[in-house]
Amino acid sequence: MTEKSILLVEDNPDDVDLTVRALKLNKLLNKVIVARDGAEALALLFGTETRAPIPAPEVVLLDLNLPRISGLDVLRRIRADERTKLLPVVILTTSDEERDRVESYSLGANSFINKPVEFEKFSSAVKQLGVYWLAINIGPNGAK
Amino acid sequence: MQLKRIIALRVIALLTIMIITVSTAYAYFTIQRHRELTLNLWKTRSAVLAEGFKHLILWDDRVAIRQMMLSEVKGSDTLLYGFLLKGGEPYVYTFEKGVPLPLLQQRPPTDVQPVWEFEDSEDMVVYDLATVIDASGTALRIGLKRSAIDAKMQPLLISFCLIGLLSIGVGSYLAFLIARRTTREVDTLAEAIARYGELADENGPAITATTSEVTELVKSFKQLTARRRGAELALASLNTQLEQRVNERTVQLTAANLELDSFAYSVSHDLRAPLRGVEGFSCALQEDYADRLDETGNDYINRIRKGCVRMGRLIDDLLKLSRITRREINRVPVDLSRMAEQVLLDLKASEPDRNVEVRIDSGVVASADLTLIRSVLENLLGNAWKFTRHTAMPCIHFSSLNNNGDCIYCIRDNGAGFNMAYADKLFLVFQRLHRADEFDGTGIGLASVQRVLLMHGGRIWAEGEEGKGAAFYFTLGDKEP
Repeated sequence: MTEKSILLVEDNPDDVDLTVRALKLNKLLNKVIVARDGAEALALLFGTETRAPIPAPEVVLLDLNLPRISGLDVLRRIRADERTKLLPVVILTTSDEERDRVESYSLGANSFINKPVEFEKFSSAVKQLGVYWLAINIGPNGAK
Repeated sequence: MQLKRIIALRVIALLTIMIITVSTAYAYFTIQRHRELTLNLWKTRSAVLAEGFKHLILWDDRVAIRQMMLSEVKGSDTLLYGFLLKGGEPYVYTFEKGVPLPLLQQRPPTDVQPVWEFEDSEDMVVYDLATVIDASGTALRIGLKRSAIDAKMQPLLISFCLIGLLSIGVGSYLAFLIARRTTREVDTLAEAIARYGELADENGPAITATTSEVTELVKSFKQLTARRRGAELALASLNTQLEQRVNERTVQLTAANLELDSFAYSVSHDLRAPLRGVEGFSCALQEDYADRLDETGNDYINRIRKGCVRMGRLIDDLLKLSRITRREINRVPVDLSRMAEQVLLDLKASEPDRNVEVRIDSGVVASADLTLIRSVLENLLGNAWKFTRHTAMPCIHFSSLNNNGDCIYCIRDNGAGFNMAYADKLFLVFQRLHRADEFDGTGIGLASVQRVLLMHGGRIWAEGEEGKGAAFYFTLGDKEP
């Protein structure tokens, strides 16, 4: 049985650690694959000349403000590709700008979550989204 | 009608009246004089005849007298009749049908005026001249036809008429010439106004007038027009400059807005991310290493976390403030009473233990942007809620009053209030009138409120007294809510 994994696309190492910590604290012990920018995320998802693509994660937690390739571009590429167009993508961002929200949804984001400053609130949000996407939600490929 | 023609016609009319009056008067006096002279002539002739008749009367030769009379009458077309009286009775006469009654009914010839004018049966005016021959009532009377006397004057009268007509003709021509000459100046003026007034025709041949006044007028007009045109050109260029400047400013403003936009965006993202790190790891530190820290250490961590939360709220409020300016105002009718009620219900839900007396006047309506006016009420009612925290019997009152058609909304509380000396600082960003340990807050709320109200064309002001409460008044720039 393949383990349910999460792809976390996040350039800020602090945010990576905090997200992982929040997942752990909430007993979501799935494998977390981290991509440090948009290009790396795309390389992981679609593979490169030297490496095969990773098995499709259960959910992609995508930050918007990324170096090189922005989160919205990553989302656009995910939705444009036949292999990943049904992949659940949750935007997890600091921004609460209306235009980011609207654009994310119009590009086909499944969810939009604003990262609060307070860790307790953040942790609670991570818990809920983890439980929802990993345990409750049934992905496009069905239950595994 | 042309001025030229009016002047000409009036002069002609005046001339004609004058010529006719003078001619008529002259003709009248000439005729009178002619009649007088003719009558005098006939008086003399009558006296001569009467002298001749004296002997014939002595001889009683009536036939001879009548012969002489008839020859006289026939020889003159003026003489109408001869009539000799003797002893007051008709003696010899030339009348064919007897002596006419009017002549017989006269008083004795001695009393008769030398000239007696009467009208005969055929409406002919007759001058009757009487020459007394002796005192016994013997007299010669002759009748003269006035028309015949006047007929001699006919050529003269005709020539008079002709001269008059000629004068009128010549006068008319002269009048026309004078009129044309006089109005030429007016034409010059009209031409100058037409040419200098509208078009920039300063290069054409100069317009010259004859009279000094009109020359001066034309000159002044030309100068005036030149000045006006100069002013127009200046105005046009000023307008262009202004437009250009407005365009430049608009571009600058758009750029500034874009910059502000991206600034706000990066604040929202980049400023919060490290803050979240500080808060998150402080939390992790507290959770994982609380047992290895003493009380003071744990207190420090708490303070760090509180500072982070506060800073996060500051960033959020600042963002809200910057977002307000980026919004378009979309006015809709709003029931402020109901909105205030909802806001206060929310506040109550957040602190269910507090017991605040709430009075909301019903039917307070306004025309405002729904989201923004809600943020105004949230801020002001939130402040009222917050600053009555330490009041024994807290009370919040929302009302409206009418000031000459302008609706003024008022939110009043009996909370901590403020010193009126600092009233001007209330609405400045980051200005707080209370210590943080008394009342929390970022100092951005009222600045946002003021910005929203200014964007609506309204304003806000406050009254307060320390320890007694505060009242915030605002308008929304809507005449008819």
